[in-house]
Amino acid sequence: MAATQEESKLGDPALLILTSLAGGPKHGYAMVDDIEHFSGSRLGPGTLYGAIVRLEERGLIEAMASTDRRRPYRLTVRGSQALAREIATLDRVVQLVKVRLTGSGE
Amino acid sequence: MSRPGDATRPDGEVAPNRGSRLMRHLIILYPMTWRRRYGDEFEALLEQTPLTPRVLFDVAVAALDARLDPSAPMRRWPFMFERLRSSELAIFAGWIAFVVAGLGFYKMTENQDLFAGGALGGLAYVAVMVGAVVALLAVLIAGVPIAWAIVRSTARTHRWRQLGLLAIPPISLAAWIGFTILLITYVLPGSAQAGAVQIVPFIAWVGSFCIAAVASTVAVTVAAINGDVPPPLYERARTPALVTAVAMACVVVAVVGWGAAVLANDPSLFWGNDGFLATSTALSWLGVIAGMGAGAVIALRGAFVARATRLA
Repeated sequence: MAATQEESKLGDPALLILTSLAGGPKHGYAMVDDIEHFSGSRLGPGTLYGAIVRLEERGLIEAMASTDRRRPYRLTVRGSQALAREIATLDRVVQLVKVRLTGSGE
Repeated sequence: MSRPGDATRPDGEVAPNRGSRLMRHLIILYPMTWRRRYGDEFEALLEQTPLTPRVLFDVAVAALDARLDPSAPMRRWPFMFERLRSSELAIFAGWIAFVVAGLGFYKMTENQDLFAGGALGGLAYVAVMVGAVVALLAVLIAGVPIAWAIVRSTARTHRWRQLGLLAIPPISLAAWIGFTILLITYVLPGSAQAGAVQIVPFIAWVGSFCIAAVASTVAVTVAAINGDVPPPLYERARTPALVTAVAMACVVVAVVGWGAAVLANDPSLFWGNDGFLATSTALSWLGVIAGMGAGAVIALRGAFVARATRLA
């Protein structure tokens, strides 16, 4: 488990946030919780908001009206497209790694 | 069934503990501009985050990054956001000036033949009315979600002074209507025969309307600046704001066209004294154009600045 957590820390916080928001709008705590649920890595508050600020600046996510102090965020269309591109790239990398590790590409 | 990360799901969250309450003071490490935008929500997150050395280090490093990174979005985000908000509020102020001058046009023409300027004059008059309705609808489309967000944030944060600011426009309108009823009931009947005396209540009537309009504009502007309005609402208001400004400009052109048509079709009316308070029609027309034109120019400038301002 420790090894898995260590490996998952290699993930980019921005990608984790986009993946979390792909499941629906969430506020900060819900994102941290969700990311831990699917990746095993718990983002610190500073790391989370550092990434949120940059994603919002790039128009990949947007803030929604909040019912309390916890402001939810959601993916924008541009954010969905960026996530799809990122996942497609990762998918190609995964396929390549599988081929190379099994040695069938040689 | 809700998933663990669902925003609406309250369970699974850590109740604020003493350490967390202490930790929320870490927010002071962030730049003021950052805190103004993200402070409340970040503090709420810190309150629910258990205090550990790792978390302390994470927040400290992130705060340092927010202060030192020259490309940190927070360094320009507030400026861009405030520029967008200011430009849209300028459009609103311009629209108010436009409405006040437009009511002057309506007052000036209410007793005139719609076709005093011939078919073209009639067409221009209809264009003025259509343009005014389009501008009003666009203002409502842009403004109502923002006003609603201010009301909701007021209720959430218990900043009732904000609600008081939003109450000023309807209260001002009610007060002005009351003043009008007072004039019609008690002042005008007694001074109907004395033209000079009627000027005073008329000026008081127009002046009170202008004061109400200015007070309402200032109150709404202050409420919008202090209110917790999500930036996307201002972004979505860009297009209706542009529509408002363009409609206002079209109305000004139509008013100019109306005056030119009256001049061509009925010079005696144009050069006569059918303007405000039986003054020159031509001067009243020019006054209306000046007022509406100033509002339209302010709105157009605001619309172009808003179009050029990107938050992301």
